[in-house]
Amino acid sequence: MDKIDAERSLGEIRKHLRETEEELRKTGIYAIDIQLLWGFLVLLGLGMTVLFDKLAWYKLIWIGWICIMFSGWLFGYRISKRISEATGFTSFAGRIVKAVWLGITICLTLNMIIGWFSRGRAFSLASIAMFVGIGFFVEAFVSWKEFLIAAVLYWLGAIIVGLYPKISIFVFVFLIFVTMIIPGIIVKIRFRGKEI
Amino acid sequence: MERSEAKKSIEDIKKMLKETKEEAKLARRNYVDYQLLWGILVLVGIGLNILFLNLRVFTWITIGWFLLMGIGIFLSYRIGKRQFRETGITTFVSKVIVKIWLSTGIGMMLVVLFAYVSPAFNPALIPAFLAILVGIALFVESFLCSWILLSFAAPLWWVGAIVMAVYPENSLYFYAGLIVLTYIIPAILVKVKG
Repeated sequence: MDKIDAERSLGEIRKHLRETEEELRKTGIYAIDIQLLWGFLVLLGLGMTVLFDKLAWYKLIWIGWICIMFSGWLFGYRISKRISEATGFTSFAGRIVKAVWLGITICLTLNMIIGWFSRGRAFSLASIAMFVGIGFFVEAFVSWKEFLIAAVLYWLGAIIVGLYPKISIFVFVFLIFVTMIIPGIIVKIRFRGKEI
Repeated sequence: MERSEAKKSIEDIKKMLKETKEEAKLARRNYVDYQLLWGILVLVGIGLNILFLNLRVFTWITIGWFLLMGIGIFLSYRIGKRQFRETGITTFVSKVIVKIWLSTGIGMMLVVLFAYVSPAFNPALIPAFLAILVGIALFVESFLCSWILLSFAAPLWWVGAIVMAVYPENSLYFYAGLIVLTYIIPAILVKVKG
């Protein structure tokens, strides 16, 4: 009787674990929208930086980035709300990822402040790549292992940007495409029209 | 019968949760060992840094930090091994904490590397960037450990980073102050409380 009880309990636990894995998979697929959102916003920001730099409208670069960050926060919040409505729960792993990216966003803001204090001598884009790499590294462990490739690419990109600051924008555009836009589009195409 | 089975299952779950809480408490106590170790090592490093700066033997600054970091990694490994022998478990939370510190450690190495190779980086900002990185690790850790004392640490390091960027000439002293406030004192408090 004890053995039957134990087997039944184990069966229940396995069922719960399978359900949790399924929910985590769903959350990961929905989270692609956040990745695409930030990918496009940062691309827009980089394009704007190049344009305003050429026109010598330096103050507008800061204003533009603040607007982009604000839009990202606003739309990101709306997407997160939609994800939790669709999946019906927020997992512990999901909360860890949220905490990590919130911390990274605070670091990016500090990076901008320090860049302003040091009058541009704070290798802005290299340190941004370094911080984003940390986010992907932890996310690779908590959710999708593939993010480890993104982490390594960002850290390598950070070194290249540190060595050759003149090509930093091109390196960053490449990183955004390879680690955010292309994987996001692939996942979107794969699940288009299918019930997740 | 169904009801008594359910009651038994609930009792089992409660027992497991209690054990998990005990393990988490033990993990927090064990974490204090790392905090003390790294706190003391970084303080020694800052002391040596200031000494070598005054003696104008700049190469020794890098050598000193490499030696201290090597000692820190070796002793951390031994503490981890000892803790595993005592508890017999490695929790998901402790694994995430290791990953966080590993990634911020890589970030710290990149900052130091940039100071040597990047023409666009002011080496006086090294402590400010290291403080940002320590802040993010403590921020995630405070969320994972649900430890109130730790949740004050990350904002302190981030405010400290701005102060260090504004006054880079005094950044080593600010850094030492933050180590004492957020590493040494909380660790001693936990040790004294037992």
